[in-house]
Amino acid sequence: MVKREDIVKLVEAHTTVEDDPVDAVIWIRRDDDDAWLVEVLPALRGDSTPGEPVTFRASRSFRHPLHLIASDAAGLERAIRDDRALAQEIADGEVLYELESRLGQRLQSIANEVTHGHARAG
Amino acid sequence: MATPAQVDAWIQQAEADLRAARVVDEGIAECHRRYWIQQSCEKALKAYALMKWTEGAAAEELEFRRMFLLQHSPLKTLSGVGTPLTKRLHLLRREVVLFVNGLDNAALLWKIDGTTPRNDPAETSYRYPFVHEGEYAAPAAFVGWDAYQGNATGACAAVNRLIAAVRDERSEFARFFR
Repeated sequence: MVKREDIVKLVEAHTTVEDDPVDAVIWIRRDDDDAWLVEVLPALRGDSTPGEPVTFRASRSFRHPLHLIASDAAGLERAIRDDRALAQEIADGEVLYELESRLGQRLQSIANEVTHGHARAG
Repeated sequence: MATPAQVDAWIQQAEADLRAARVVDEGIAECHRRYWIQQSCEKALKAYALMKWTEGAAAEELEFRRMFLLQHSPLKTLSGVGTPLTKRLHLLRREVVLFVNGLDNAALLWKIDGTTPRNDPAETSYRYPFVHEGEYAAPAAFVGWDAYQGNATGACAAVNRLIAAVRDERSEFARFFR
């Protein structure tokens, strides 16, 4: 299982890429041995496979395989609405980072709506 | 997917280029040293990227080779692409950027990666004559390299640390093949 402090450190690093900012990060499948992150990256506008994860091997600084489900906010909203299983995972996930726009909470709200048929308070 | 042997070959070449950059001998000018420093940095970055890259669709593999592996200044090239990258390559670039930014002297490594020798005489080049202070200068006669690529000793040290970090990653990478 991935330790919370390790994933928090990784997410902190992910928010430091100056020319490619991240708007929100949600940790999903928190009991998995691999790390699964949903990242809102505005630069990925027009992404045709928003729900498809890209996997990176473990490294010295982060010793778990990392699966990134990344897209812009519109793409991720589409992926959530198209994939109930992903919606469930996002609804059950934890927002580890978000800007004032609260995109992480907004995506979780949409995921709750898809999963339970209504918005649930975050 | 890259193999440990393939990654080793890139690391070995990065080390060989850095050794060449450190040689002090007759016939070796500062421009040659600067070229080898850049080449060493470039090959170490490519070795790291090869370890991080996981197999994608044919178009993604082609893009990875064309836009990264075959490029002189790979990070600079990816940053300057006018059209959107595929998601896989976009995210790989982020991983490489995070790796470099986590090292000492990251700013110097960025600077070294960005020293691309162009045929444009208006741009400083360690390979082609260029215009300096209104006159054509041969790279071998130019003395302003510290402003272009940082102090040579510091640049070599920064690339050496980069290679060491890539070697550390290589030991982790090799675990997948045991």
